[in-house]
Amino acid sequence: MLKDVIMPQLGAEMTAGRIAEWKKKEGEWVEEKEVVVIVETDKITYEIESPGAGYLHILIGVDEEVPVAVPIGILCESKEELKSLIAKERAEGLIKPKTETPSPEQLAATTSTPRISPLARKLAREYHVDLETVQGSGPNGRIIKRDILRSIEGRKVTTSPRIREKEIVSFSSSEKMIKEIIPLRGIRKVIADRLYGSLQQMAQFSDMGEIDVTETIKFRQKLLEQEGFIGAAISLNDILIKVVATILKQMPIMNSSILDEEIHVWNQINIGMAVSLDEGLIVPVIHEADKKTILEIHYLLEDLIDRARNHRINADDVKGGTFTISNFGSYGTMYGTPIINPPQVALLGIGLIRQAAMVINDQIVVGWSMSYSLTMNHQVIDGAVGSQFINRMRKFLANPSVLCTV
Amino acid sequence: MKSLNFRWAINEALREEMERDERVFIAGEDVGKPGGPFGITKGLWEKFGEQRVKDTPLSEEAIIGLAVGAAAAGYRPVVEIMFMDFITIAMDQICNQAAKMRYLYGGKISLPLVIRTLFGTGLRAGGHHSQSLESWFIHTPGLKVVMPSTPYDAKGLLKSAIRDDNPVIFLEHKGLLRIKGDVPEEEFLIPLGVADVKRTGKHATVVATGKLVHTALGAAEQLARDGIELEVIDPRTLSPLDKETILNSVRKTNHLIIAHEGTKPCGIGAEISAVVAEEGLDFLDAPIKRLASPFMPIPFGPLEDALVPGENDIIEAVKEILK
Repeated sequence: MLKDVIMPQLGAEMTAGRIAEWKKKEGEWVEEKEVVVIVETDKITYEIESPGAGYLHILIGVDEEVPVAVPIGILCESKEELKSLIAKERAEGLIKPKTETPSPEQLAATTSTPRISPLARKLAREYHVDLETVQGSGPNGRIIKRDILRSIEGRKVTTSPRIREKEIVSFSSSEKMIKEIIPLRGIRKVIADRLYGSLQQMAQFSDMGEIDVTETIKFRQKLLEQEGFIGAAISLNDILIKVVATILKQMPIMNSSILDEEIHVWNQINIGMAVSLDEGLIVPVIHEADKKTILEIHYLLEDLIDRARNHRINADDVKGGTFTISNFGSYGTMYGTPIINPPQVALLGIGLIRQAAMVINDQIVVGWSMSYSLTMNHQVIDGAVGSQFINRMRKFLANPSVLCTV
Repeated sequence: MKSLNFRWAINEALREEMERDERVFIAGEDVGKPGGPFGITKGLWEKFGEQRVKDTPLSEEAIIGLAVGAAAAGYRPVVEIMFMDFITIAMDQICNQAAKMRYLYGGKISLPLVIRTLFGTGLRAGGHHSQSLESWFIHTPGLKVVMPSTPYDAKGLLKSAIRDDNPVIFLEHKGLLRIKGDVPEEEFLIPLGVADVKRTGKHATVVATGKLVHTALGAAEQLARDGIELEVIDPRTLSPLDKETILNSVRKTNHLIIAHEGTKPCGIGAEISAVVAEEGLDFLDAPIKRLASPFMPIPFGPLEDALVPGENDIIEAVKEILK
């Protein structure tokens, strides 16, 4: 028995709706009342519960709009029912309305196993594309690589309502030959959505400059000489986290978020440290960094980075951050325009630390200089506030011994 | 770099190897005083004398027999079969004797001989003077088969063939003798068993041999104007075949065409198709296409011009598999 899933009328004035996301895949089993699809109008987004149980056959794809009461999917009692439904659809598409003796090509095309190139078959396997849903555009209806790639492209779904997918300009294959199509998924997709959303939601600007860190380098060198006694090799990152945490205690507005038209100033100072992995960026968090000693910060950070690189990081390690530091200086980069990690309001980029000539008391001396790029959300933080933050950093880094008082 | 034509590249290779190693000698019909029917050995008889540049009787069997015996005795003969079509007379000497002796004697002797022969169309000289018979020798274990397409490849490969301790069939396309190409001034060798990517591309791979390498390159230029980038591979050594270069290319382009002059059945095209189907099936987004001469004896006279695959044949084939 087949059961239709139809586009519901979600309001008295609604005449049509759009598919936002299929929560269940083609061919997947759906329970009655399980959320099967999300539909949307210009006003609302609505989760549709399945009217029955069965194997799902999708009729209308994502982003397509249909009038109210039109079937958007069909639930089949059994896999056999699903298969014959699909075969019937395909046959209806291929057999011409006028009765003609089918040519050998047509006969070949109507057999139940689709003709498919070895490469396309391999790609379909790798990307979990159901061949039954793919239309072949090669000779005699053969499914070839571009058909699989088109099928993967068509799977893109919208995420949160705040991030609307703009119309994607696609190159038609007769004008430009596509070299490769990589589906956005997993960590890459999360990064793509978050950072795009970040720039859309905030008014971001960056303050860039140099800080004299000669004294901090000397300070750290002294700590390294005492490595045996301390029990660890303290890194510059450890010191920076402590410095930033201390300043955030003094300047709580930099440790906030905008939520529902209000600035929420956070009680805890949780500093995230950006770590670059092959598959993308990840930001493990040191919670309540202001309450921890540099040594404690060192051990926590070391453990987090190690687990991040070995893919043993868990959800708690990356949540709750209120401020982020990104040290891209180790790659040789001096300045950048780092993008804030929402819903935070600032991100401190640390650039290259190197020996440089400085003018002190009318003399040219050799010292250590650290580039920085501080990106802030102008909705909450003005330039002057950012400058204050940096000036406090300068003070700490020029006089690292102050750290033993905090 | 200097500009050299194909026949002089071969001449120089022979001269240099004979200067380097006194065990190397040349034998064949009219190779001595006449300088070879195509002028390839010109000047060598004058320089090295009758003992090292021998004119033989009109007997292909004897020519190869001489090579086998001399090689077994420690010489490094480079003998010539004037037209590959006549090699049939020496098949036993080549395939039963030369190819197998090293194995039959348990490795006690090796036969470092080279059989040079002129093959292919270009003279409109008919069915007994134009054939491409490399398939028979690729099929025989114990023989190496080399087919250069440029003066550079010809010189470097012939020198390597002469220094190789195995029997090598060195195939010279008579239609290529006049073509010119850049060749280094200093000595150089090209290893056997290594293919050459003559042109990189990303849309389709064409593996071509002999004169058809140039046809494929011409087709590639035309296709480039339509935005189709062809990758052209010249295997250079047909046996042992550089499978890896071909498979890597098909992995990249997903489309394969093979163009050769011999007939299709059991040709080098058939061999390459089988290798790719066995070891690279998942790379293919379309069927493999072979372009070859029609399955018929080669006609005498101008009809020969219609026989061999041309640039347009390659262009059409590429467009078809890219559909």
